[in-house]
Amino acid sequence: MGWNKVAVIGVGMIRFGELFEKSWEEMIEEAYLNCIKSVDKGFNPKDIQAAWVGVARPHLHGQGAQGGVSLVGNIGLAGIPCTRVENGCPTGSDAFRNACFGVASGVYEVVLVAGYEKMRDAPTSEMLGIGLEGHPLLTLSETAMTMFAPQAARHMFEYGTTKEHMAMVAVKNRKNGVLDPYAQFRQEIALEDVLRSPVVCEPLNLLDCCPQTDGAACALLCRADIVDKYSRKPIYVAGVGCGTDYYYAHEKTTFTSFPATIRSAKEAYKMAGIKPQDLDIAEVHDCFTITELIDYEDLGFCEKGQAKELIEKGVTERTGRIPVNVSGGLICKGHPLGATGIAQIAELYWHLREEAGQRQVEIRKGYGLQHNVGGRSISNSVMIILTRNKD
Amino acid sequence: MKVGIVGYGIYIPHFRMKREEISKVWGGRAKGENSVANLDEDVITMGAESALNALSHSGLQPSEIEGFYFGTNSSPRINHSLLGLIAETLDLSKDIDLVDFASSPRANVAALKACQDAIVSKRIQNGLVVGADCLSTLPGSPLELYGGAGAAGFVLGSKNVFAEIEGLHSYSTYIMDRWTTPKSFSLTEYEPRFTLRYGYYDHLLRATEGLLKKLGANVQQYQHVILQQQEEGTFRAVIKALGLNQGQLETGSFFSELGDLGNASIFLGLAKVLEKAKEGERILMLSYGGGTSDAVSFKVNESIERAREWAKGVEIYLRTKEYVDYFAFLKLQKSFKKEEEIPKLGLNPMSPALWRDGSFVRSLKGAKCTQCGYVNFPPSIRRICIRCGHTQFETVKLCRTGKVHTYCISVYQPVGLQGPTPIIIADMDDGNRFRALGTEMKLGGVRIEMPVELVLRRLIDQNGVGIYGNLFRPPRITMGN
Repeated sequence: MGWNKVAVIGVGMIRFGELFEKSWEEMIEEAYLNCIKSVDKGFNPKDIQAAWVGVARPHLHGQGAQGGVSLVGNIGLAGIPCTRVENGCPTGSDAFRNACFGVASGVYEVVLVAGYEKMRDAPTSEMLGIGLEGHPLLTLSETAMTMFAPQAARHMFEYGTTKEHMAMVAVKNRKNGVLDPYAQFRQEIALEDVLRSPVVCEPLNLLDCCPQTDGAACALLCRADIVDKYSRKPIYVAGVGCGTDYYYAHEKTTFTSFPATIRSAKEAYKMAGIKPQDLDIAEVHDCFTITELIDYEDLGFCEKGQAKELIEKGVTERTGRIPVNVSGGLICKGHPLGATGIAQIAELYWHLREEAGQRQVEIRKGYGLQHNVGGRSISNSVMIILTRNKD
Repeated sequence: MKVGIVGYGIYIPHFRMKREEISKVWGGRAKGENSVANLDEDVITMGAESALNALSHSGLQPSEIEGFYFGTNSSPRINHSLLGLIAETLDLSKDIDLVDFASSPRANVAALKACQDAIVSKRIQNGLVVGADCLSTLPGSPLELYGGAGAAGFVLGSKNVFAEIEGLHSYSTYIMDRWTTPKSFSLTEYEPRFTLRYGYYDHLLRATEGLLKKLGANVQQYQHVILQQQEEGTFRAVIKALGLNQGQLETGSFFSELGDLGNASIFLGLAKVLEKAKEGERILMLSYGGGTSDAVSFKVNESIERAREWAKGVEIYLRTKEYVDYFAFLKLQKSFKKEEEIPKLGLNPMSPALWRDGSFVRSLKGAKCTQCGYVNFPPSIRRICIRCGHTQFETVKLCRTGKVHTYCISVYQPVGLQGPTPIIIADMDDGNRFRALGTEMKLGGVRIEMPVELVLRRLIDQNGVGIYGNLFRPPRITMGN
């Protein structure tokens, strides 16, 4: 039924956080070794024929234009083809998507995909410096906060979404993160904590926002027809999608949804041959609490404007009908841009194989969804659907 | 040929400083208040707004302006003219003369004379004259008590004139009274009593006498007299010597409300008088600066009534204001600066990209798709319609007014920008959408559907070079399109 030409045979990541003590090279090495180790039937790195690596803001650690060798040159694989991908917040997931195409095309049998971000080797002001990039006359001060906060303001205005609804997302994801050993934060917070936290970009408070994080994650992919060589419980890529929207804020047609998400979701659902109701778990982009609420609507979990009811009724809790961001999401686990998408895929992989320990969700239909949205004017989105169903 | 005023426009910044606040810090006694330019303002942005107002008031098309004459003492640049920036914001023809006048607070009259001469000699038909200043003084200096900021401009022509220039006389000597040096940029004076007596007083009297002699007139024939005012009380001796009465001075004075506006000073006074003057009245305008005084005589005709109908109100600019405290004042005067790194802009202010796109952005021109009607902006980066892929366009002028579609208030801004700052996405009245930062907004008061207008401001500086672009502010007086 689904695309199912590519299988995931292993995943690995490191605990995300403010990793002042770790270099970007070390983070990649550790995630890679965890990934190799995770392959059921054992894995010889010599089988890797090509690699993709995602990193969105490499200049933050002084590696601005180094290319794909920044992955393979650090893990003993120098010599094989490697492509570096940048696609805003979907960087990691898009590296994964492109790696899938490398395998599905029949050119490669086994490939590695990695994503990492070293955000804390630079001061916070450097990250804010993104607001000075782009075109000073058109995009001045366009940072993640100033792109997403206006969406919150308009969503509140049109649909009656409140700051409490947004805070509920943070409370849920922080609660989920307590059970995730890879999460940056592992403490519950209360609704009041979110509402009382300082305003960073009205209408968003500090605890409505994901932190700045260092992290790395990897996945190994192979052609579906040879998966038995590596895996006892294979997971398949059922569908991939990618969508874009207009480049500048003044060109956008809506400030209450992300058209890029709607397009990537349409493509991925169609490829996988499923509907949102078929999902057992979703790891969606929650760089800010409002993002997760808008994702519910764009990904088809509810009708437009109904996200507030979904969060109020606990539908997206770990034990709800569609558990969303069981890993803690970007808000709690952290958002090392290039690593984020692949870490979300790792989370789905563990749940679909029922290896997620205490935070394991119930798997009924065998599908999980990964989603990112971001980039200039929130105009890039990637979505990946994984399944444990062979057909 | 009767040459005179066919349009006027002014600009006064939003902020005011009470003089007593300055006295509290440095001692002395002073009443009244001064206008203070915002951090994103300078003579270019203020001059542009007054010029847009004047042009709109004249009813002339930008293409009908054949010369632009600008007088200021506070240009942000030396060795480089920024007039082209105002000209492109107004969408003036590129085949015209742009002339800077400087080095004195009467550079405005020098500009006016140059424009008048060009019209009289039939070299041009209509010209634009603007005077603008932003007086900067050292903290604690006696001049700090009276420094203000503002701009005022006129369109001169020979058709539809409502205030004719009757005559003009200048009197000049060499006297060291007030000056700035290129390094300090702060106004300094030697001995006020000396310069008042042999500078201001002497020159104003001689210029007035010269003019009246030329015209065979006397001061009693003038219903309105506008004096360049630099400090409280300095003009009393002149008033007495000329035999002027309070009634003649009342309409054109604003010193207690705005302070010394340098090159904007008497121009603003003149605009203020024109809002009230009646047919047949005469106006005497007296400049002074750096050892020169000009006396200019205007006569108002019947067209003034019609001109008043679409006048851009001086009163509105005077009325809409917000007081700042002394710390905020020092910050606005750039005497009190945050120590921070130089902003690392993705594009250098000198980058060709800003040269390519800047004029379209500042003059608010769009490329309207001839197939689907979507207005692509700016045209310099859009050769293919982003909505339908069509490649043929017509150039359209975008509207400056609209309503907030959505917004945020960013507390933490990148280096070089100050938070908290509203960032506004607005639905403009012509159906287009625009994104810009907000200025002079009450942070708790920003709301969806709130009206806003786009104005020219200095967005950010890198190494002292500013990038000029659009910001939203709450509508104050709608800038001419």
